Amino acid sequence: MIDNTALVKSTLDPVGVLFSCPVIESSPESITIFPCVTFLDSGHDDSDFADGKAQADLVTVIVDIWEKADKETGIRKEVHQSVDAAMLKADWYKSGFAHLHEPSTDVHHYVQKYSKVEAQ
Amino acid sequence: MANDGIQAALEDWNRRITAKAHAVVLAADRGNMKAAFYCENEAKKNAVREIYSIPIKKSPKTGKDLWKRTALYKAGIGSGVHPSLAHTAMIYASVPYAKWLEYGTSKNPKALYILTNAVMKNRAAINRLIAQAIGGVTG
Repeated sequence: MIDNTALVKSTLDPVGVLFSCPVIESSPESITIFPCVTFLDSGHDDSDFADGKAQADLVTVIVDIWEKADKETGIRKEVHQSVDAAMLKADWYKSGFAHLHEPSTDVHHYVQKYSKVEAQ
Repeated sequence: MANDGIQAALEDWNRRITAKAHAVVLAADRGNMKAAFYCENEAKKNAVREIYSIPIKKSPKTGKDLWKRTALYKAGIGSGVHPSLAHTAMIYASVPYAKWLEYGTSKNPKALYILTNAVMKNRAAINRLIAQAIGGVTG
């Protein structure tokens, strides 16, 4: 089985300088540092069968990008496009997207779902 | 005379093919709806597993688990034909807070993916239901 954690981390490493917090693998209690990226290992499905055996692993991850305007400057550092570009460059394909805005906290939450077929 | 016979045969063939194609499309739509019902049921099961089988909190007085639920979210899960896209079925949750449960919030980032998993984890069943519906027409 492909290690999603290593895959996503290596994919986002080149743009890591953009983030003020490291990529978090599992959901923390709450998001307090912005911008921040969390991700969830969403699924591993067998794919490309030959002689009854799976030849590939369909990996799916959900990358959550949390952005909020700085209290002092009022500027929101947008990193979701950089994350998206890095994932697409690493041959992930986007299989889902949602943008949620929390009115009470003014947090912008970008949910981006990516899939990739990896040979086993 | 022979040409008329060929023309009539071609028209008959065209009529049959059109009728068959129409029947296949109708069957596929029925399969779509069956798949949507199936996913709705799976979403409700997911909701029970992710929400209703977990107590809200412990009572500060007695220390016992509190289970107060309205089941509004589960009741709000539904399925139907997409209003604007042809040959498309959908499942939905009509309660306004459904998106926060589905994707998480900054205060509680644990997303539950109740509707997403109802579809994405059941792709084989969805394919089977649609194939069965079409197979009923094509034989």
